Amino acid sequence: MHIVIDLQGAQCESRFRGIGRYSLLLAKAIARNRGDNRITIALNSVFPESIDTLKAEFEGILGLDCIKVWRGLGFVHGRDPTNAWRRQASEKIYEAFLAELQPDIVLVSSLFEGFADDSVSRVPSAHRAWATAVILYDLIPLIYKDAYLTSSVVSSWYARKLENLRRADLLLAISASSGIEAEEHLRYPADRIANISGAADPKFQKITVDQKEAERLKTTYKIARPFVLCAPGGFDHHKNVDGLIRAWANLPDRIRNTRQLVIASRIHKATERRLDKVRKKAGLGSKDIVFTGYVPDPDLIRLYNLTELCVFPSRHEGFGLPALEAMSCGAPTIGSNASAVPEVIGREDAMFDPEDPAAFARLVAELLEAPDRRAELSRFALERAELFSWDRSARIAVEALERIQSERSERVEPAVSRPHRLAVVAPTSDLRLGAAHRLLPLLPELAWRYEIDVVAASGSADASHLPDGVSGCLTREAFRREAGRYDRILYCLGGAGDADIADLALEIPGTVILTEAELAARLDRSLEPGVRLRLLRACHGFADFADPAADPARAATSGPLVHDVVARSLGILAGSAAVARASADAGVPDAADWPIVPFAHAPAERPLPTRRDARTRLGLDDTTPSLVVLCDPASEAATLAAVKAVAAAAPEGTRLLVLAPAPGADRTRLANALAARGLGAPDIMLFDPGHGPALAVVSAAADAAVAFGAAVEAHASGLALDLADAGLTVVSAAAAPSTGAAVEAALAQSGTAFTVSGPDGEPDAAASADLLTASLERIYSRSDVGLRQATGAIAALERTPDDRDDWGRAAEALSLTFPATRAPRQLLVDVSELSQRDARSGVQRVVRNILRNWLQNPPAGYQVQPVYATTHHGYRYATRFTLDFLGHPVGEVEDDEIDFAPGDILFMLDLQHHVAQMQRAFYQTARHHGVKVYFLVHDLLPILLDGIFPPQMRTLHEDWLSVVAESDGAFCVSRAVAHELSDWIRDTGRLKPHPFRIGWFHHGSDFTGSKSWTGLPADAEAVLATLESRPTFLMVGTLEPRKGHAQTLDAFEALWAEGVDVNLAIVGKEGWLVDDLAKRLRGHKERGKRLFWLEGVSDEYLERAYAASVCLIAASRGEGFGLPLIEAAQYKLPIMARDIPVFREVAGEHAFFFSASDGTELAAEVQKWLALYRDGRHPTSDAMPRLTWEETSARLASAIVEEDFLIELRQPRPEPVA
Amino acid sequence: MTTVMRLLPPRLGARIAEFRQLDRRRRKYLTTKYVLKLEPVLPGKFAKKMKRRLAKYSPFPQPATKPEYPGRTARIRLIEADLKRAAGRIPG
Repeated sequence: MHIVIDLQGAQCESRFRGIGRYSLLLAKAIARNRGDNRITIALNSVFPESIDTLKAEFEGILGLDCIKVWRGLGFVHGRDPTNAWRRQASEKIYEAFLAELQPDIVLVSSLFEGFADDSVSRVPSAHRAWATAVILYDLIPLIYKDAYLTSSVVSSWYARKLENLRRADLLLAISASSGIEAEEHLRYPADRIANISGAADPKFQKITVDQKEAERLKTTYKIARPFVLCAPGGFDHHKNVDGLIRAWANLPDRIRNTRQLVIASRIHKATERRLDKVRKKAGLGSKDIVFTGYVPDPDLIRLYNLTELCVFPSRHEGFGLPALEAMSCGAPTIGSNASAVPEVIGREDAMFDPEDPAAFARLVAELLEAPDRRAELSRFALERAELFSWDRSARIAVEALERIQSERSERVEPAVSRPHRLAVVAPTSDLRLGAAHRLLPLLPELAWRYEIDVVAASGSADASHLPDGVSGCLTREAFRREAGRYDRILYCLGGAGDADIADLALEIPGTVILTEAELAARLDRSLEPGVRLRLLRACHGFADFADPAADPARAATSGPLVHDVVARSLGILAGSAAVARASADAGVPDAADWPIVPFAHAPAERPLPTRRDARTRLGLDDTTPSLVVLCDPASEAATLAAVKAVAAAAPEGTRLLVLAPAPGADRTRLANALAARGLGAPDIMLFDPGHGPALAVVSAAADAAVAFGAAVEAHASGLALDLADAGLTVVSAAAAPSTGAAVEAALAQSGTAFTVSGPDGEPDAAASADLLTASLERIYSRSDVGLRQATGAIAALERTPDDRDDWGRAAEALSLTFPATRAPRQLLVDVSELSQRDARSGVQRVVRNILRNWLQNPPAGYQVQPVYATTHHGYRYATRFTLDFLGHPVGEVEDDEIDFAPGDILFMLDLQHHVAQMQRAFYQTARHHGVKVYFLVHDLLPILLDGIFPPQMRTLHEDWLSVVAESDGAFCVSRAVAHELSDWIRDTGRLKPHPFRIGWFHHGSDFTGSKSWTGLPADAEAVLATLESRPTFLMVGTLEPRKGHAQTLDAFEALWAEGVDVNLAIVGKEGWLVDDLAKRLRGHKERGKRLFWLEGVSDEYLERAYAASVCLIAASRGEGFGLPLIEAAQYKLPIMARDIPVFREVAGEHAFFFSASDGTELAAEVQKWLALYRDGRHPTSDAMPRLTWEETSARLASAIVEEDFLIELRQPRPEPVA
Repeated sequence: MTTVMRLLPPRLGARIAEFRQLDRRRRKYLTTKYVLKLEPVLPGKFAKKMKRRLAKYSPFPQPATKPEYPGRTARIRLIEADLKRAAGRIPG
């Protein structure tokens, strides 16, 4: 049995109350005690903050694939009547989502939710495929109507919920008392109610609270005296807190003056003010009663263990969980004798009448003055609490669910279903024309299974040609209106009218049958260039564009542009294996897996004109030889070549009737191109093969045909077969030894070895019809069932939305609940900063290098799709940027909004603080719906190094890292940064319930992959010559306080003063907080002599500077990685590096490390290095391990895809309080 | 040194010379910042343009404004169209 537990009760507002706790603990216990049953937990992502926590709760009990997330619309709460449409639409999505899970039984954890929050639950009305069980907590609002159902909005909302409750197949009552309420007040059958009782969380237990902890609690909650505790779990009317306060006033002074009444529950200000008035009116002082507000569980457990007595004064309870929790902690507990409370308290002498303050006061006074009785009550409480356990409740629940399910399966009779309505979309209602004619023999067989209508995509609805088995026909417009009435839609693509059919197929999704291998190319030609590029991106990613060896012209013009139709359809059937193969070769996703429905070759039934008539219409006499040339649609050049070859091989005077599958404008251009080569009319005539009457005339007039290209594969080409049907010998030029031989064989009407013909044997229409039906039904049973059901149901709602944005909200909820299932997996790579501007910083150099390599070598199984968001809009595919980045003309292509599906990865390669913060909710939504979100972290320097970044950078970086910490993980540019990030997340308390994983990688060092900026300034050669004239120490990096430029300059001033003849070259632009340093550099007397500041230099210039230097000084006090070190190693340039962990990690033993605190010390270190250098004993960087960008990119991609991480962080599971 | 710079007071001339050595982005940022000091007397449209330019060349990322539909995707658009059509909101 498949049990789906709708756990919104533990997600919505009730998650802070007993209902939330009850729902979660019972669901976990059911999962533990599921036996052979399958459990799925359904969560609503309208409550995003609860999802990771709940997933963590089920870890070790259920696999992550057993937790399914759907999405309601939001803004659906019942308090506001204007939410009605959104609520109803959400209910439809909820039902369709459940239907897609195919449950046997759905357990609704809390039906009476959604008045003040956005939860949605419903018990389906009729013809449901599953049973529904509801946990019944109580019917308090129904019983105390005067207190709860005073407003018409509340009462009508509650009445609707009661209707739902009555429809449930089973009520799991949390106590005998609540079950009896359902019998008495709803007349609900007793045999469909199970008392499953409840239990306290095992963490509620007897513990020892030490003196220090007790003092802390008293201070925290302002408790001044020994106390009596009440944790009502709310302040509703039935909780009777007012009555408790009044009863407290009845206690004798000697008790009241030595104790306090502590009321521990989340309380609103207004409620506190109201209860304060009750207190004053009862004559109690402000110290007599303490309202603690919300008390976290660990503290509540300690308070239960410290209290002298616990009271539970409710007038009415479904179960009385707080009383049981107190008893589990060994607190002597007394409670009212009403409703379910006695089932928990379990003894008469610990109960009182909640409406009798005097009785309450008597009992409390007796107990507070009798420690022995309290001790005995405490022992009893612990024994009594042992009787309640979640596992016991869960076992009762599972048994009841199994019983109801088995009764139901015996009771439910198989529904008598009407035949499905099938719309066959063809070019015209005359199915004898176009690709649909291949369906003709199948229709009588299909008519047993379907009620069939024909839709004329291009023409008018003419019922006179309807074949057997077809009930009616309708026009395109009528179909658009009536599409919702059809259970199945079949688009026949592969001949005339394809563009119109494709249009409809894009508009109204259905199943598509492809009967022509050349369809992709044909559709391709009809596309605008911008649209073609967008589709190419959607279909292939940028693989074609990123391959440097690929011909850009080819990349921009070829491709499987049938993709759009394929992507939008519910499923594809291939008319032959060749169609599937050709489409797979063209890169259409999953084409190799398309079901093949081998349509028995059915000759077209259209009447052909006589040969004489046809020839007369074409201006041919009886004796002129004429040959049909069926062209490969792949390219105009191929057509020209084919026609030229046939013209050369054919005897003089032969008329060539060329069937060129091309749009009108292209055909005119083709005619002009032929004429320009001396191949014009009257010897050569062009025809549109999609035009039925013209094809009939050509077929009747010609003597034979020669077909070119892949089009002639026997099963693939309807055209070749149509010509063969018409009695022509059709010779395949590809199969013949030469075009000349093909022409000769055709005119001689021989050459059977390479003659096109239909498949052998008689067509088996019944078998094909069976196959078609089975494939169609399989497609409709699995693909987008939920989406179609929900869309139809929402569209059929009587009301229309008040807010026009609601359509978008509904679409968003549908899209998230029913993700695309046939999309290729994407590696979405964020380039938000680089796509807007290239600041030519180190970060952007990393982005450029990795992106370029990923585009050229995408990780197996993924399409690399660069994406970006700005401060004004959400994520889009960066198509324009990427084409430009790869050096292709951009043209008029537009950037589409992104799509994502479970299994995709969003990798934040670029660094754009504000965009990341603004998209925070988007990352969360994507994560909850199956997308992994990872960030690249370069460093934590603005946080770790005080005073050397502008102050706002620290806040900005902290905010950004907070977003990072909410994701699935991060990849850092070094192990050192990985550990720093891990420490920061731990130290700042940003651990989350879900795992956060940290990996690392090192940058590449080669320039070749990254060279994107070349050119030298006019004085470059002179500068480089000076650098080479004496030992030059090079510093590379933007001028920032942390980089140690000022200290290094101090050192070199000291060296120059001592007469050491060396150069200092600084490469890097001016950063922030370095005004003094910049001024000093610009006005330095050695500038241009022995001091050089090369600002904003190209990669080429930097490369030359590395080559002209003898040593790199890396004086930075903090780095994420230290790219210059690895670049220096690339040029075998020795390195002097400050002794910091990341430089040790990168350079190891291949650098000279120093720890100078001022310029003088650094000058001494430089002297030391020079001495070593002169003796040839300085550490060299030649053997320093380094990677190319290609290797770095491949390793990073593999780590992302294969989830290779160094550190895993997560919030610790709450420990039992001790 | 250009003629104009010769005519300027020496300190300002030095400033301009220094300014010309800054990178292009920084120059654009600073000129815009100086221009915007005259905002009270600038035509509204021009001032608006300058503010956009300031934001564009600012070394600090700009504070964000919330987009309407941060998670809107191409598929959502298609489903929305399906919904409207099925509900008869898009004429056939």
